[in-house]
Amino acid sequence: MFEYILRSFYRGSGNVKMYILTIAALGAILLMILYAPAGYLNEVLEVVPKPDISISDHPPGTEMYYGYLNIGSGDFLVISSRNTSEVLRLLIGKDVRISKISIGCKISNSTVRGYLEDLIKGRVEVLECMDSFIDYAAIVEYDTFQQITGHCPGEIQKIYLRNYAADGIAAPSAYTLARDLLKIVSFHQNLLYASSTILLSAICLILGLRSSNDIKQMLTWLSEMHIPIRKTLFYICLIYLGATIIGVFAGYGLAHLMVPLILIFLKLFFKIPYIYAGLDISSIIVILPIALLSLLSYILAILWMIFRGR
Amino acid sequence: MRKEIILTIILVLAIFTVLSPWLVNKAPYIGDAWIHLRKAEDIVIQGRLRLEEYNDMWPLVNLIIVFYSTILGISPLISTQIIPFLVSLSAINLYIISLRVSRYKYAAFSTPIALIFTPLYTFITFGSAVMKETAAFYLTTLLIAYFLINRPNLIGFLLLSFGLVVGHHFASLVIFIFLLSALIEDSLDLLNGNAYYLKRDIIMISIFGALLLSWNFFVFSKIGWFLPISGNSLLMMVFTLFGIWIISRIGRLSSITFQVFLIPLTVLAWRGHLHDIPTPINPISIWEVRDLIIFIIPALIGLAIFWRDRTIRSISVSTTTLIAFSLISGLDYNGLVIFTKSLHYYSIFLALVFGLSWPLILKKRLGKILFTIVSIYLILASVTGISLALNGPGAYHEIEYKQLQELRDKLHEPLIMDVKLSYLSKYLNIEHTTFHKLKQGEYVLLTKSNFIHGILLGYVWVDLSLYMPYHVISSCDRLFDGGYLKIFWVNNV
Repeated sequence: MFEYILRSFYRGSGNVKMYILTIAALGAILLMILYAPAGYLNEVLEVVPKPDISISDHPPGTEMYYGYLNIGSGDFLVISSRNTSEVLRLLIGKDVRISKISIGCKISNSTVRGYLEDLIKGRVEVLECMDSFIDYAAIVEYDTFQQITGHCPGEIQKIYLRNYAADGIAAPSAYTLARDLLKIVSFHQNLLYASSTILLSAICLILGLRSSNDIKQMLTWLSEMHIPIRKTLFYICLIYLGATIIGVFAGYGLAHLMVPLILIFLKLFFKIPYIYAGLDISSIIVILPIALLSLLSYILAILWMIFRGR
Repeated sequence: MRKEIILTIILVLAIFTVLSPWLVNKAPYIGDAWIHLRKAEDIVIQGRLRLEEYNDMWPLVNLIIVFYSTILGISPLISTQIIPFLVSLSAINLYIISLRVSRYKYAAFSTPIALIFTPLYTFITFGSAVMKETAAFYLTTLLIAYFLINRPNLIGFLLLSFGLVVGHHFASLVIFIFLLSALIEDSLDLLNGNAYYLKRDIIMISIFGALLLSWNFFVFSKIGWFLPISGNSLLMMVFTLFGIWIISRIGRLSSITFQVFLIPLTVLAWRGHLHDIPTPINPISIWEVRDLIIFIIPALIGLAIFWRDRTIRSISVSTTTLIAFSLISGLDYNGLVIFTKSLHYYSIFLALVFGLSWPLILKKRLGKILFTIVSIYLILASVTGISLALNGPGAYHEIEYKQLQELRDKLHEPLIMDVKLSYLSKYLNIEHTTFHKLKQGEYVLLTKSNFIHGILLGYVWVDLSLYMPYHVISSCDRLFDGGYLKIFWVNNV
């Protein structure tokens, strides 16, 4: 009898096939909208070096001096500290070996290098390119810094860098930007989640109501076969519960497929860096309540049709 | 009679295409050939098969070389070419599949032509190689053809399945997903009151699945996890299959739209525009784009017509799943490895749907003329692919082999060389190391392709100047210069 009911529900309007496709397609869209941007930003947070600093005018923290000094032909950013390697680690998020006086790769060919070498009567090291402001700056030990400031005019600032804390101002970086964006996206996620739940439930309700003619016909057949209504309902619920689970898995599969493919296209057309942001398997759990609510709406619609018919 | 003549011509074309690297260069194509040649020679000498490391674990290729070498009394080097020859026989399988699905002889003829001369060049670049995958290719297409028989002999299916399972894990995976997709289609047919194939397909997938699981479990117990078989990737593959299946079920338009997006991505990835791995392949030219459009438009028409056919849908779902999985699993080294393996099976699907478009086109006025023009055009357009195989980075030349063989006894120090030459050196028992920062007094072996294409490091190609800038090469002592091969003694770094 189960097979008979399943076969009957496989055909006609509002059938199981349509229901699975609806749950899968809408579930996938939902997952893509809800989790893909957050997933991408999350991956960015993993990839981007974490500066993890705050800036303050007062100790504690690592003392840092900086200023735009007139070196040779123009003004250049000079950074100094009694612990330059620690300052550099805090600023760029990774350990870099530096010498007594180092300059960024973008100013290695300028007059700065020659001027500084003449000034300190020593060799100036060129740092590897880091794609940051350090590429345009000179990093010097504190005693050399004093020597430079004696010869080059410019205003000097003193600040303290320390690991990120609630007080102080978080230094703007790709990391903090991604983290703040993630907060915004998470807020929108909640809004989207609520609205899409309503949308999916409404669609399933309409789908259930659309299947009224088939259900009426089905019930007539079943009553002619003397199959109790309670048993019929049980089987219908079982069939649609199975269909919901299949739909959820298929929806996840669809989203899991589409998100990286879309990201590859974004890389191709807009040069947005490709970072794999495939959806985590746990996101299935998140769409389960929506899917179950949709199932409930569907069953409610069918029940309404049955009892109205009686 | 006319049908047999056309089929013979197609078969001859297939044989000459895949054997062209051997016929022109007189050496096997792609480095894996030297590994399997060595393995085959070991089997002949020792008289027994050893299952110890990765290249032993799917021994079909080694056994085929040994078998033909023994029964024909030819050297194992020559008998390696039985592998590309078997690949060329896949043309007959494609003919059978296409004829069975379309029941139209023009479709059946154009499908093998589309496979042999695909503008993706997969048939020549893959089919000419002596690899585990290539050895399994004929069986893969044969199993699909066998699946279409109404009452297949289960003993025959068991033997074919065993052959494929010990041939290559990826080819087995393709067939397993194909059978799984067919089983899903059958289950849905059951709901429509048609259970004609269900029982047969359950038996087939059970036999194949049992063989696949047992053999790969044995391999796993010997060498551990191997690409792309890992818990995580298999789970990802299952969900990709779910996604592709849903797309194929939503409707004809969704299937075609998905392929419209996937095919350009595949082409770009194949030509080195997508993965973060440097490859020596030239960027795709506008002429090649034109060739691809001429190939792909009929293919999409074919898909649109035969979208509902359970065989085509199963082939589409299985091959598309693997190609999509390879792309989404990452644009890194592993992704590229899986991608190149998947592409060869994806081209079977494209060739099939290309062939299946002709029943519709031929009904139109000038359809037959168009068919002839497109077929000849594809043959001519494949010249780029053939030259890629003949002179590309994967090609070896007889002179390299001969010269290195002659030098073997004179070499007393390890030579530095790239991975491509290291395959050949390993076969010839020449002591070697792969490229590293050169030091004074080291010996470097370079071949012509190192100067043209660069140095192969695993799957990554880098320019020769990275290790040997011009001033380093010019300061080296040239100990041997044989046209293709050169041995340098590093003087000043």
